[in-house]
Amino acid sequence: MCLVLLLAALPAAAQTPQRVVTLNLCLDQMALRLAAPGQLVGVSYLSQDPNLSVLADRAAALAPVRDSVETILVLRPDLVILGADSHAPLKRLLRGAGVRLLELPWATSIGEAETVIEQMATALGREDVGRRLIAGMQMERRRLTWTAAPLGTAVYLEANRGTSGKGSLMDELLRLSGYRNLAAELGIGSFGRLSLETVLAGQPDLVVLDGTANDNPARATEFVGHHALLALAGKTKLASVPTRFSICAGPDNFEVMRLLAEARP
Amino acid sequence: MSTTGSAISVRGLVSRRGHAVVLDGIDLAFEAGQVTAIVGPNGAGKTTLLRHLAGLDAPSAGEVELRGQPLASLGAAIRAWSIAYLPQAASAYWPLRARDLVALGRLPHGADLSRPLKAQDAQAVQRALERVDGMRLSERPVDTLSQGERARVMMARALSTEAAVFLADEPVASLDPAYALETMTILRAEAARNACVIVVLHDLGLAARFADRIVVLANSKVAADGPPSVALAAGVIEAAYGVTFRHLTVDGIPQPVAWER
Amino acid sequence: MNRWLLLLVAALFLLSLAVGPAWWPWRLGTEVGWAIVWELRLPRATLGLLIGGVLGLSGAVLQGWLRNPLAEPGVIGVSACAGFAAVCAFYSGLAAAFALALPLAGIAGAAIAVALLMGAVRSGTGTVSLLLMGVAINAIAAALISLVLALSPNPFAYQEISLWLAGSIVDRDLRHLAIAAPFMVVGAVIVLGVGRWLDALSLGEDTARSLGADTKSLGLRLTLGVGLMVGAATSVAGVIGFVGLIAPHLIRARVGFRPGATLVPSMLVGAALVLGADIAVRLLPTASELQLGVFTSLVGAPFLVRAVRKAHAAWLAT
Repeated sequence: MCLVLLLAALPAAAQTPQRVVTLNLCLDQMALRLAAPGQLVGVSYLSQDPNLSVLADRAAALAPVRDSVETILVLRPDLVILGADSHAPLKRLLRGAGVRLLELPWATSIGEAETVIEQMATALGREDVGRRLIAGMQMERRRLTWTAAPLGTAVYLEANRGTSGKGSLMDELLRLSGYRNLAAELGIGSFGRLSLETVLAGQPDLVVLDGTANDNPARATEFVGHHALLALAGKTKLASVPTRFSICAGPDNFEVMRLLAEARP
Repeated sequence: MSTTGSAISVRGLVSRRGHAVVLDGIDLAFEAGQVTAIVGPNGAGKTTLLRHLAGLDAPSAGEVELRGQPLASLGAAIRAWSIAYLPQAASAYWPLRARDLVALGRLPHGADLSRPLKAQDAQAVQRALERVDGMRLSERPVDTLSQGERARVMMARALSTEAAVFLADEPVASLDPAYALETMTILRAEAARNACVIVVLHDLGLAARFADRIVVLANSKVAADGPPSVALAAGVIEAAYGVTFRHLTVDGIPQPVAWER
Repeated sequence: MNRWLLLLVAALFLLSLAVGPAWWPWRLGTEVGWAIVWELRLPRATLGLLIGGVLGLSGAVLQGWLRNPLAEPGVIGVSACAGFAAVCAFYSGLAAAFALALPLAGIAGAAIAVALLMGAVRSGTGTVSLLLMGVAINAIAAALISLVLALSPNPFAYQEISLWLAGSIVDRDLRHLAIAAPFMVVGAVIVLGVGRWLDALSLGEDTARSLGADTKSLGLRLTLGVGLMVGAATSVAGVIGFVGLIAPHLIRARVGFRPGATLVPSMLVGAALVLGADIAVRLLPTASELQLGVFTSLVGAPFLVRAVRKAHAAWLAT
């Protein structure tokens, strides 16, 4: 009986990977949704941090992996999925150890995320699941997109008063939700910094930040409690969007759009 | 011995440093208007005695009294006002102007260098500079002075306090004869002002010439105490220093000269 | 001189209120203008004024007490120690629950460092031992700061070591000012009266005592005062180095090297330096704003080199 089962499983094992490890937060999030039970054996340690990872509870059951060849190899993976921008020595060492690699690009828009999901689903032998996930994303996108005239300007503030300008994921999310991105209009590229003074002077209609970012205090996130932001109260709306929904392009971004929709006047 | 009439005195003074006994039951009273020289071989406790008199060290036993009052019971202000102390090889950490440095001697009188000096303080500084013949040095930073000039400015600083007790620890060490003689003359003048002058000296000849009284310290105890002719008698200092002395007499003043081991 | 310095500080303070990306914010409406000037620029300018003042004063006080022109809160590790204690209070969340924990921790850290230094570097012992002690305290404090940051669950915390070792007063708000300012002011008041005794210490500890200085209580007073000043300053801004070195250095020759006379001018020069440096970092065309502490180190380190060479020459001469 056991033997029959094993024999039946063998041909499939030749093409579909059985022990998969993913090495960055965003690829982890996709793999956690796409992989068959037991197929994914390791994800990056960041995926276990509930502040950064939407699926932290599921990731907690898996081995946490750091960018060190040893922690990866002890999991005996037959496929490692990693960002195309990973360190060259890491890739070389993994290939040298005979591990198959799948390099996927960093997605900075919902459309790019769909392409990455499609590629990963194919590699995992989970095309059906991938198709369903993408179809769901497209439906959500249609449902949540603001089609009327723009509502005004918005600005996104993250750690160290970093902001997302032209060409960034947040830029797309703000636009889809009906806002013009103040940072993009100020000529800031996909990542830049804004002083609080510039934020006040820009008088945006909406400020988007992670209101819980400073629950574990750091100077980088301390600004979310700065008194000067209170001066915007009344005129400017404030939307608190947990970082974990906006950090990666993918299905979680629709939670950002839902939160932005709630903040509409 | 009565100590109430003296300017400053020690009674049963014992000073220990760790297990070593530096001073062992010293009784001395010092009179105003006199120059007392403290002599003795290296390590006899001369500097330690002076530090106790200045209130810088606390006795292990016994007491230092200023005009019959225990020194420890007097406040720092009264002590500073009554006792001027010139340490050995006195120096300054910052290149202060000579006049400012001398004015530090007026701190016990309430002077503050950050404000203009009061007339009486300015006059005292002036007097002190005149007494060391240092008027022409007054505007110069002390790091530009020669060793002898610097010693004079340091002396003027101690003089400017115009205290009742004047303590000087080897003020003539490593000075040229001219400076040494001048320094001893200044100390005599200080005694003539009715101050009680106590000076640690190495040079027995200078002690014999300029001191009214000489205290010989040896082995942590007072070996002799009296006028130069008594305290510097051959038997006393040969025992104290462990060498033989020859005595010359110049102008009626004995001048002991160390002769042989 | 003090009058001119006071005018300079006042001018820089007003300039600090006027400089920013929005320049004349009132054109955007009184409400926004008010928020920019009152909530953003005023805390920054006032903290610059106070922090610069207390760092300049602390430098002058420590140099007078240790009789060493290289004694400076940043160089000898007092600021780093304060930074470590503040980091503990801040990243553990203690300061979020109890705001005063931040300056109090900083003050304790600074006071402990001053006490350690006073114990180790008694009676004007050499520059070498003072600097080595500083190197040791700085290294230990930096390592401990790094450790505490690594333990923080906030993903951004670990990148902030540079922010603590080279401080900044960007985005400090009125609450930071409120918790730190009183301690800095009290610390300054405590040490401003010690000038006479620092003058006396020019002649060494024994002579100073013979002139009526109570060196024991003076040491306690300076430990407390410098602890309050440097501790409170560092707890809200991080380490801003070299201000305490440069300020007395610029003043000393002008006041005839009297340590007591350097106190007030050093305080004013320190305030002018930090206000000026903070205005400069806002105006410099760098991609992201240069940290204030980086700027003061950049300007100040050459002064340290010069002072070390001088001290070395003096040492060779003796």
